[in-house]
Amino acid sequence: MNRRTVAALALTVATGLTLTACGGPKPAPGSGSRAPADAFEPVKVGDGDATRGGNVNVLMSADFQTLDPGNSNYVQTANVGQLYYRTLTMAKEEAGKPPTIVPDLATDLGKVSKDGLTWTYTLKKGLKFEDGSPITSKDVKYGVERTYARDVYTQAPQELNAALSDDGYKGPYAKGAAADFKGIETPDDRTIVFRLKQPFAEFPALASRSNTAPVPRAEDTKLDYTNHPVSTGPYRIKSYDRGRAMKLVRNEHWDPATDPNRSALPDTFTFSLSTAQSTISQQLLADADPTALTLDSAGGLQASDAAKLDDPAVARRTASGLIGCTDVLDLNTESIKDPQVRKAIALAIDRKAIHLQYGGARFGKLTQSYINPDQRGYVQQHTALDPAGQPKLAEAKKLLKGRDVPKKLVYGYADATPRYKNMGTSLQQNLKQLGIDLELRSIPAANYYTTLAGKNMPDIARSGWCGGADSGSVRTTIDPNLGPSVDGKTFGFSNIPRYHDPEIARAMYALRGENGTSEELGRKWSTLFDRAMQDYPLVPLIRNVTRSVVGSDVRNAQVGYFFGAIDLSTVSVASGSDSGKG
Amino acid sequence: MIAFLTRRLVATVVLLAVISFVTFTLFHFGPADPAAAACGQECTPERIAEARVALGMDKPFLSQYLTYMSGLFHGRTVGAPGAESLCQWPCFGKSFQTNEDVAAVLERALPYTLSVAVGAIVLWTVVGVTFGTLAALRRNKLTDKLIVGAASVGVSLPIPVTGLLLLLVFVSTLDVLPFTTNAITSPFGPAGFDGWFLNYLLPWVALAVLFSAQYIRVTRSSMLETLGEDFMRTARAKGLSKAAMVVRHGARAGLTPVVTMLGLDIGLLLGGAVLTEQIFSVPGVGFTAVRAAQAGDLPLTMAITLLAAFFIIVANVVVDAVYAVIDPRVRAA
Repeated sequence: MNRRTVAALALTVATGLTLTACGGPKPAPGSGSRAPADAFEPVKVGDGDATRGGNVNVLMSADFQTLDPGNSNYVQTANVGQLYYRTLTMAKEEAGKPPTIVPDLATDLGKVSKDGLTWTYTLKKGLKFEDGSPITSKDVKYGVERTYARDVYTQAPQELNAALSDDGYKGPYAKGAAADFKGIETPDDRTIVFRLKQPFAEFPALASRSNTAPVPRAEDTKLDYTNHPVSTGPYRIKSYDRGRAMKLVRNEHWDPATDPNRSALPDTFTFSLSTAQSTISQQLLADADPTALTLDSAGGLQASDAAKLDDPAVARRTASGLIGCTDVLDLNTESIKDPQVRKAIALAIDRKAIHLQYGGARFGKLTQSYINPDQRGYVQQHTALDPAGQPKLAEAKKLLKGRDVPKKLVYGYADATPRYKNMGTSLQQNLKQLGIDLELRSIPAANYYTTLAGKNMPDIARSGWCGGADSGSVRTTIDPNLGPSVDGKTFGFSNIPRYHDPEIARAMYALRGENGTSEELGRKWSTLFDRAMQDYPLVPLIRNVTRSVVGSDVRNAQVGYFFGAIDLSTVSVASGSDSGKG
Repeated sequence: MIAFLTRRLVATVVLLAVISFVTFTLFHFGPADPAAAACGQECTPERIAEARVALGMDKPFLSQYLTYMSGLFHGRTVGAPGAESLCQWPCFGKSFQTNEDVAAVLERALPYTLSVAVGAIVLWTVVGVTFGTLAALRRNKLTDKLIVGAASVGVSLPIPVTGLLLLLVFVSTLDVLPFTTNAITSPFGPAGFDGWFLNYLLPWVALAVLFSAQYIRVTRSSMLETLGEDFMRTARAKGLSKAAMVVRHGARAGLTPVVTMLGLDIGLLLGGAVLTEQIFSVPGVGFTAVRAAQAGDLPLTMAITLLAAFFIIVANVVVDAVYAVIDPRVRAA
């Protein structure tokens, strides 16, 4: 997921749900949640139930920004999208772990050429749109082409496009766009060939992005496509009243034999799109609707609800898990040039206090690194930070002896979230101990990340990342956050600390073009990252945890690592819940 | 009267035009950049430029404004070249966040705001005028002191305090009232009058605590003044009962300032009770306004500003017209 999704997540506090992995689908029904061995172990609700039928009622405080797979960088859309669109490959959630990339419309994860520059996919047989017409390779290609119309779709996901050749393509609507897109070839109705600029070991993950959801050219209503995207998944949109409600019913033309990833147990899904957030948490806590769940971030919970999670009756209905989103403090390496000064600042920070501001262990885990051991290519990382988050003041002061210490620094925070301002107050006290005055400066939340990327980047700022295009690989966290620019000569545009060590940048630049497996290349990325981190361009803070309460009839509920909410592709409702049908 | 209304109508149009221009300008030169907001965290400068085209913000400022305003007179197309879509009259543009017709967004939000406004206005007017008059009649007695004291407390309680206290006491603790639901927008819906009433009772009370306090004070002082007037003594001397005197003569003159205030408050409230709607999670105009402003959603912000301004201006005109009806002295002038 890109930073946009991260922003969306972070804005509402982090939510995270993991889905049950699809693999072996028939555990004993109603096995319920077991007591976790450690506080951060994922908890599923009603794991293994196989009841078919019923309705799941999804409560949301706001309408989806979009349902168009070609115009979506939102986790909520990706989550509900599992129900009505399919992609070449799929990021299959498993609570507490990065999603596994599995084949979806395609027969496998793609065949790569020796030079790593061509990936070939074959569509499964018998795939159909909701109107019964066959899905062809041309529909997949057209879906990708649309996402090049960035002057139409502001949210068009670009991770896949960035890897493909033919950068000059402007999408199918541009004047004189008769020119064909060269990045993809469709030699026959079932074959799709992607041409890459450079080898990209994580390509199967890029193919799982919503770009590859097929769109029939004749049905493309452009920006209005969001009102009724043509279904290729187990459900189709029966009615959609913007801002109020949506109903999904079974798509008769979806063939389960082609789709082992979606259990599609409930008959219908209803979405209530303007339920007040306070109502959502109250209803879920009180079990007012036994078939209800929410996709709102942080499980729709209000700070004041935290204590109620301890009620055993509620705990039994609470799915939880660590999600892919991690928050860090970026130190502007252009304004705080001395790595030892940055290290001193990092050591002086009371991360424990910040952890408490995030709601403590219930909503996050103190982390020592931006990457985690569940990711492909992880190697042991090193840091002088205290694992318990205590500041190391004496050490910090020692580091600063005889160095040029700034008298005054600026901390910028997104103005919509009080927590980020409070963090600043805490930092203020920490830095005072080092003789540094910290000024707090608010930044409009909507423009937060573009401000950090621009010339107004303060000295210190918080940011979050949820794993990037392939949340299972370290690469898509490391490269965007500390990597060099496209030409390798300076820092990359989303490298918020503006970290640029010529030697490390050169190595990362070379690594981008290297051919190899995600695992072996990932280890190289991790090693470079560990080296860069010794210069303290950023301070790891909190890995987010989502807790999401569901209705008492909801089964197979898990918090997705990527979605940060209940994974809709696995949920079901226990029998007897038909009364919940509206 | 017709000349008066015509004059006011022209003034209304001019005023709205000015307000629209000021809002548009403020938005454009303000700190929030909708194009940057639209493309989020991994936003290259090229991507921002493309988003600007998508939002129609790549054109010169004045031409953007004129295009926007033309939509108020006839339908127009919106969107990037090659992907235009029709926006029907009255076109307030399409939301930057969801591409939904802004007119449709407002149509959805208004019933909530109306529901909150209607009940609150009735409640605070009845309470305010009744107790204000009572206090005036019992001047300097215990009743007066109690009422004025309560009003002083009420007027100093901000909505966030009353709102949260009401929720805590009646919903969370005593559990005698339901959590507000967004399914009910009218007393004529399936939930019936009772459902509607209970759903909006707390927002009404929260608003009424604040507003009726002001109404009590204004009613009391204005009634006191009126009761001391010569014509009141004359009326009494004619042998009119005290009740008839207060209602027929006193209220007519004494309530003029209350009517002015009421008119303006109605206008204000129809533009969205921002705090109340936020606290009780009522997705009305005020609630929508906050989200639109935070997200840098220009078309939605513009439309809400114009709507709110329209209500306030119309309320002013109505107040002036109603004046003439209640107070004969104004008619003569």
